[in-house]
Amino acid sequence: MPRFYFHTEDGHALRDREGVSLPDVAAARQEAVRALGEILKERSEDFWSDGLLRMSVTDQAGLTLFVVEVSATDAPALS
Amino acid sequence: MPLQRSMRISHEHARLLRSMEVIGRVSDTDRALVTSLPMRIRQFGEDTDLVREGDRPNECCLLVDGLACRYKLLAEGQRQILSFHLAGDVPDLQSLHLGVMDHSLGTLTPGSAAYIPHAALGEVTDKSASLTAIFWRITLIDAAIFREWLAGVGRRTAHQRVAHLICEFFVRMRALGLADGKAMDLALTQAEIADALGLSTVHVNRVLQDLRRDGLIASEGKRMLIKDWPRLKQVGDFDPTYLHLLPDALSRAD
Repeated sequence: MPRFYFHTEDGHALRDREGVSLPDVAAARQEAVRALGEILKERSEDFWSDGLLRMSVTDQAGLTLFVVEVSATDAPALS
Repeated sequence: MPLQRSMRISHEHARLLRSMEVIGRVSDTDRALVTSLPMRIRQFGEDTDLVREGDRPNECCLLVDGLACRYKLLAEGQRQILSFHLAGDVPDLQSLHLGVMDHSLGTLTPGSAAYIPHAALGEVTDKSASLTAIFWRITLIDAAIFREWLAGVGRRTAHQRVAHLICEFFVRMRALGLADGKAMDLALTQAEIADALGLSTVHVNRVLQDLRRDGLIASEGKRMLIKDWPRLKQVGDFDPTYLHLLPDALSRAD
C-alpha cells in the first residue's frame, strides 16, 4: 500500500514525517476529511484566532496530491 | 507433595493467578483450585479470531502470551475495538454465564491461549465462594474499564484519549510484571489505536507525533518508552482508580 503524508497548518505548521499507509488516493481523501473534521472539532475556540485550518497531502516523493481547507470569515456586521 | 505441586505451576496457570492476585486476595485453597483447572493450549498468529460473535462457547479463553482485543464489526465494515487484553486476562469470562457471544475476540500479535472448559470453571466456583467473588470482581472491573472508555470516546479530546490509553497499558502491564522499568512492548498499529478510540488513523498519527515531540513518550521499534510519566498522566486525564488494583499492585504500577 502506498504511503501518504498528511501535513496540517493551523497557525503553526505540523509536518507529518511518518505518514500512513492507505490503499489509494480515494482512501487518502476520505481519511483527510475525517481527520480534518476531528481536528476542527477540538479547535472550536482556537480555530477562530487563525480562521484557517489546512491539510495538504503528499505522496512518498513529496508531491502534493490535494489540499483541504476550512476557513472562516466574519461578515462586516461583526467588525 | 503440596510444596512440590506449587513449585510446578504451569506458565498458563501462573499467568491466570497473577492477574487474579493484582485485584484480589487469593487464598491457598483457591490457588489450588485454580491450579487444578484443565487448560488446552493453542498457539496463534496475529489477527486471528479466538471466539466469534454469535458463537456459543463451552470454554473460556485465557490469554497466555500476546495481545488480544474484543471488537465488533459494524454494518459498513468498520471495526470498533471494545477493549485490549494482556497475558493473564480471560476476555470471554462472561461466556460462563452468558451463552451467546455478543462480540468477537481476536488476537493482535502472535501468542498463545489456554481454553478452560466451562464445566471445570463451574466446578471450582461451586466449591469456593471466595474464588467466585474474585471472578465476579474481574467482570466488575471489566465494566469499570468500559465506563472509563465510554467517557473517553464520548468526551475526551484525541490527545487525552491516546495518552489515557498509553497510561492504561503502562499501569496494567507494570502491575502484571509485563513491563520493565519505563519500557513496554506495545505492538499496536496506529489503525488499531484509531479503531479503539474512534479516531482516524491520521489523527492518531498526529497525536503520537505531538506526544513524542513534547518528550512524553519515545518509540524504539515495537517498544514504547515512557519519558515523562507525571505529564503523560496529566495530558491523559488519567487516574488509575477505575482499574481497582490492590494497593501493593498499584504502588508497583503507578
